[in-house]
Amino acid sequence: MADKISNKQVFFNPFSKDNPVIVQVLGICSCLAVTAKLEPALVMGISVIAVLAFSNVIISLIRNTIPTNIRIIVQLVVVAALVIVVNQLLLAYAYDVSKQLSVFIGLIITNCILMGRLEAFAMGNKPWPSFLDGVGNGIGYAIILIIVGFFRELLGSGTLMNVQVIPPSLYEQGYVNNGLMILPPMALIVVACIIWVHRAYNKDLQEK
Amino acid sequence: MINKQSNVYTIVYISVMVIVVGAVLAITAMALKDRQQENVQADKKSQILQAVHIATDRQSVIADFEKYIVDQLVVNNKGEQIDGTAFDIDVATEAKKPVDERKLPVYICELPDAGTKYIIPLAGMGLWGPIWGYVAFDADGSTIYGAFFDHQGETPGLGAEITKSAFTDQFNGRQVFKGTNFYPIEVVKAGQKPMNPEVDYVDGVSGGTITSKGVGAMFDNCLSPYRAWLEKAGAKKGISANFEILKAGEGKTANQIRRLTADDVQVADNPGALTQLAATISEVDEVSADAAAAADRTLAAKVTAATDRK
Repeated sequence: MADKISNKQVFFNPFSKDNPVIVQVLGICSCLAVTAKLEPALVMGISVIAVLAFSNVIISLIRNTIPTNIRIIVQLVVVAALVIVVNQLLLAYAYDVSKQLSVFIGLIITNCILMGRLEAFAMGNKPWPSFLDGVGNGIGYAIILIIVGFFRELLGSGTLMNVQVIPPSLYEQGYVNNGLMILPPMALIVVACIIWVHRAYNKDLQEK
Repeated sequence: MINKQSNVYTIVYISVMVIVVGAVLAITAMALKDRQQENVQADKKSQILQAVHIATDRQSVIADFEKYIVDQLVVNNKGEQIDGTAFDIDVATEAKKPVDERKLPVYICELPDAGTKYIIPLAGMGLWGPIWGYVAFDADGSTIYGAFFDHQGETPGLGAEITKSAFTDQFNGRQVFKGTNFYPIEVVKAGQKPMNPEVDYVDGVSGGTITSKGVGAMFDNCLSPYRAWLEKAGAKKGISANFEILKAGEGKTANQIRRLTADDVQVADNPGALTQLAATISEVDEVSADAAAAADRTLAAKVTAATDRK
């Protein structure tokens, strides 16, 4: 069954048709937490791509040896170990970024996308498709994070990547940043808007 | 073929996995430890320098730190210098101890254009986790020259705004000494005023009330033990200020002279300087005759006391 899906589909489906956030509705929690600004959203996206790709490959490599009754534990250990390694690497080589992400890096462990992909894909597929699946889903997640982060930072702080983009003259005429955009509920609403637009274009995804 | 569902297989599998993962993590941590330590220290140095408005990057931070930070002291809450390395002190741990047991680091910074600054580290709690900062005082020990704050996990766009210049710049020029009273800066809700109108205050971050309150509490908790030291540091500066005033013959300086003489002999660690000051004061005693005479007597007594002690 798995062979029928081409590698290309494995890679590109999660971008839109099978997007982990807006179609599978996974990883919403971190989507709320890190998207108040564009920059942490971007780094979080990259970190998730890396962790997801490697954990998918590792689980796929050892998938035939894992005892079924402890497979979730094994998956968790692999993910947790990878996240710690990523965190350590960031601390050593990209200290500023790691400071910015602080606790969220650790929270990758609890990101449902990882467990979801490991359980649904890596446990039953060869390493190379698993790698593509990991990268594809990671990118699908990152795209949503970046879109949400873009709108929240633009409307909430008037900046993008911490650079002022809303001209000061507009503020003089009475424009005010929307403080609500910075609060987590607005992330949920922005995600909902994305889902709405997405479903409007992809009629086959609409629930009856 | 091994039975993969058997208990023995499961236990062996999980044991091997734990050992392998443990080893990988231990090796990673050990291999990267030095680099991480370096980063942490470089980051701390850059934070200290940011309190005096010096922006550095990762390459130049160590050289800049050497260049501008001329001395590091550890003091206690009585203002006496004690043993220790200022840079190695964990301020967050110290901030939880009783005031009289704390080791208080001070960094002395010499800026080519702005003179001597005293940089004091702060540590406290925000909404989600620790917040910390550095505050730089002018040589008078009262006026804030600059402040720097950072946090571990405050909400981006809300509490995290304490790191922005819009918040930190408010501290510039505020004073902690009002006469002889000591008021660590208060952080109030934007538009409000503190209960005591004498206190210097700054506006908190809208939507970041708990973090802002944390900053206020941090000032209160971490700055108060420095009171004695700041008074002394300010008084040292006071001596040279009084020289100027006395020499210029401007106004009554009785209060200023009393203040610097009424303190203890450690005002100037150097007895020679006191003698010199006493001499200068008698030279210009027509400015405020009785105050100078009083100062002269007190200083003479203190010089004797200090010399005797040596």
